[in-house]
Amino acid sequence: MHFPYCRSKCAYCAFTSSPDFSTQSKYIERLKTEIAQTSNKPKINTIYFGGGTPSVMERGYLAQIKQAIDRYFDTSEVVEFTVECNPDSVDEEFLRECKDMGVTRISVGLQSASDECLKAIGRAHDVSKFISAVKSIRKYFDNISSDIILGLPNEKEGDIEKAVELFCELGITHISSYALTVEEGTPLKASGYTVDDDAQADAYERVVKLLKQKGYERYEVSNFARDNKISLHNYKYWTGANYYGFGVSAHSLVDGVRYANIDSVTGYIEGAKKTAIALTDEDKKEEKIMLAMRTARGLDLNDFASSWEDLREQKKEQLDKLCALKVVEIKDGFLRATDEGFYLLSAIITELI
Amino acid sequence: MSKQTHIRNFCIIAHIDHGKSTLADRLIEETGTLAKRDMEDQLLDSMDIERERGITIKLTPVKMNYTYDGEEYILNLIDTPGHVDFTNEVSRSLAACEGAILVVDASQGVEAQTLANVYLAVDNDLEILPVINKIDLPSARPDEVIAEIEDVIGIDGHDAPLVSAKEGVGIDKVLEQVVALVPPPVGDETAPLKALIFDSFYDNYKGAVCLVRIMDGTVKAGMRIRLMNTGKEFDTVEVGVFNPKMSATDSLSAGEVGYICASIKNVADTAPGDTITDASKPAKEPCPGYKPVQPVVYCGIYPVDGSKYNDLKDALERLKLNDAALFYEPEVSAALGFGFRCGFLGLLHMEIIEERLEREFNLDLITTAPGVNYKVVKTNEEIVTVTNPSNLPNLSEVDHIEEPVVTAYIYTPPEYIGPIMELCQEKRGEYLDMVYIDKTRVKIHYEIPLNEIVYDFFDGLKSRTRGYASLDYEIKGYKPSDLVKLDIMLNNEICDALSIIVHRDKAYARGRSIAEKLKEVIPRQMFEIPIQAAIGSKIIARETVKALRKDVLAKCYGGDITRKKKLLEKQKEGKKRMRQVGSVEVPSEAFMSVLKLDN
Repeated sequence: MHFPYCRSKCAYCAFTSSPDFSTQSKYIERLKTEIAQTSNKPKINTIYFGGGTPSVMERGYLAQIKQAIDRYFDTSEVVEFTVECNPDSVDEEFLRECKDMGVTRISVGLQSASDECLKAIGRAHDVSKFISAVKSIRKYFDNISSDIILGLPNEKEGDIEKAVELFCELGITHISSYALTVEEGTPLKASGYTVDDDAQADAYERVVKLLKQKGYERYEVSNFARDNKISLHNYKYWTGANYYGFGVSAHSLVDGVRYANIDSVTGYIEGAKKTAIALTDEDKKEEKIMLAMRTARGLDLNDFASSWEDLREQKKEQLDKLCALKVVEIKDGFLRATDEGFYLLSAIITELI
Repeated sequence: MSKQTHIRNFCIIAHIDHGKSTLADRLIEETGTLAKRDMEDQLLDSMDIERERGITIKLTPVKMNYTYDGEEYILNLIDTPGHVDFTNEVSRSLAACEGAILVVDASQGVEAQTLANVYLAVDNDLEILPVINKIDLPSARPDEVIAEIEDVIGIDGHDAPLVSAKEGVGIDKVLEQVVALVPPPVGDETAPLKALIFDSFYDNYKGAVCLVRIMDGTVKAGMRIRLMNTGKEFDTVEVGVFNPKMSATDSLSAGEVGYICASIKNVADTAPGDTITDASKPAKEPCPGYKPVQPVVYCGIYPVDGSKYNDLKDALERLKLNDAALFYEPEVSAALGFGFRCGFLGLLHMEIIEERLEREFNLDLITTAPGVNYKVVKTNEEIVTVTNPSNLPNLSEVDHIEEPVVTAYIYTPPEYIGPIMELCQEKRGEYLDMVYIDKTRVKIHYEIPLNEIVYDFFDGLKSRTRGYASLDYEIKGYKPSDLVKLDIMLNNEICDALSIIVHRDKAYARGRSIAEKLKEVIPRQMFEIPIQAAIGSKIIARETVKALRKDVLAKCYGGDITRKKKLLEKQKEGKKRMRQVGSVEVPSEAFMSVLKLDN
């Protein structure tokens, strides 16, 4: 569920989001209409409200949407329901609303433990605001996720370690650590900022090592969880399960067909049609490799062989090379990236697709 | 009376851009050979590439009728290429003429390349008719240019027509002078046939078409002819003239210019410079000056996409049909796969062929560094010719290597003498002499190894003289030289396509700059790649492409998947343009980027 509103736009953000809250009520109506087009009451077991910033929505709207979902989906077995928020828009009312509608997991963005960095990328909060927000959240939820970005402008040595320490102190159970990507059309791109790949790779190595020491397990390239609190919802993307996406620029994958909504808020409100693309067998096969390789579990080669081909035969040369370079390993029928290989995944995948 | 008295055979000599083709167009127009509405600018330059570059590569003769003083004359204009690479073709077309119009730009004056061709024409006993063109330009200085012609070339210029080919001014005066001053041909019509081939081209229906000047005798359809230098015989199917399209005639006889078709499958059998004679009554001797075409510059040409090998082969075959000077043979490179080693008359010829392959045949090519023909004298006294560095025999078997050297004439304003001499010395040139042609022009004479010329001499000359100097060269012969094979190793494996033969004194600098350049163009890969330049087992330069640290999509959730997969597919496409050299992926551009190195 995409809620495309933010109080301010972060310098690196390429998602569809808008600071113009005047369209909120129309947007919510359109969302409900879109949800109501779902037929056969499919069963779902995870829900994700993302954005934008769901927590800036006028109170009561999120609950209305949840009601619509309950009406058109079978939500009796939902085991995970995540809502994203920003530290500056978390308040008791919001948290109570979440608790009341059955949210199980809160994702609150930090991005950096340095106030200088946060300022440089236009975040509306500082580190102390984040700390107080998490303390509030903890009163209602114990499954909390947070993010940091590696390679931000003004990043200094030790900033990343500081963030990890902070997460541990605050009892954050799930951490996403993203390499900053300078996307087209963002203020960051316009500023001419470029990422130092080597420094980012160094930072990633440090994060992986540190999180491991602290008991967080890497279950996907950029995602780490303590006590098995992985994001079940996101995991579905990587395993090729069906998902329904609603809202501006949202995508769905239902029985091999990918649907995409328009990425303009006004266009969406006006009821622009979805585009639908049926995935070819080749698409499905390549996506399977691309997504499964992102996970620590890796690609189940036998399972893959039963649907497509045995990569151990068809891509023997490439696999031999990759294994010799120690960027992948094959173990118990699974092909997976090694510690050395995780940050080279694109290079690895392009060998295999 | 022989009809030869009313024939004039002439050509036009001009520096590039001095207006040769425009003048030719005006002559054709003025004589009514082609109606104005059928004219297309620069009619004689029929290939796109000729029109674009403003140069003539293939020779096309045109027959024009012209009435002067109440008498009908036949004027045969034989076009000549203007570039040094095609000197051989120039001399053949000169041999077919009795006169030459020398076109000189009224503002630029006499240029180096003009001079070389004028001297060729003088050597061929041609009557030179100077014509001052572009008098319509505000910067025109006809009096000074006439004085220059008299000083520099030593021919009388006071009668030179002042024309503007562009505006059509003075064209009649040019035609009058051709009739009045160019001597008529004086062949023996009753002697056995002797026809000089000055060019040939391939026609899909007629086969090889020989462009000929009949020196003696007569040729008719049905005659059995013999090519005197190869001894091959054919039956004549058609003879004719160009007015300016091909049109058949009953016969061609002494003094005339036209074409002969004899169902000849291969243009290589109609080598320009060869003489056609009557097989039943052969001439005693062929026309002088026949030289088999010898490629001077060589390079490897490979398709970027290995599966296009056959397309490249077909394209070369097609070009070869019309270009006897193009040489090619299949070659296999460990790095580049299947391709061809090609030989050319010079660098311009090479560039033109590459460009035509890419444009007319839509091919993406990888070309290796241009090289020359080395003579390797082995310890057992056997001599082998090597154009591909990979074929150099084992050093233990080599007594010494000889390289081709050229006589180079550089024409320049005097202020650039210093930089030019410096350049020539850097290029292992040996100073011969220097002549002041006039106050503003100097001719510097050097002997320089050809492999230095084909490397980057032109670029160096251009940048050091702001384009004011020009270069003519001719092959002088072979000289022993301390040459070595410089190998480039990627991840400890020699990449054959990057090997070059170079003088020992230059090897260190070349090796270092190639390694540096490769470091820039080879993308980082999953492992560290040492780039080494080596002579034999001795490493003379080393650079390292560091191992790739990060190549990953930071996030990939529901909405990203399609876009991210496209990114990966694009990355995968990019890989296809890479060549696998051992374990290293090398982009196609890398092979070319080492050709042009900064000093």
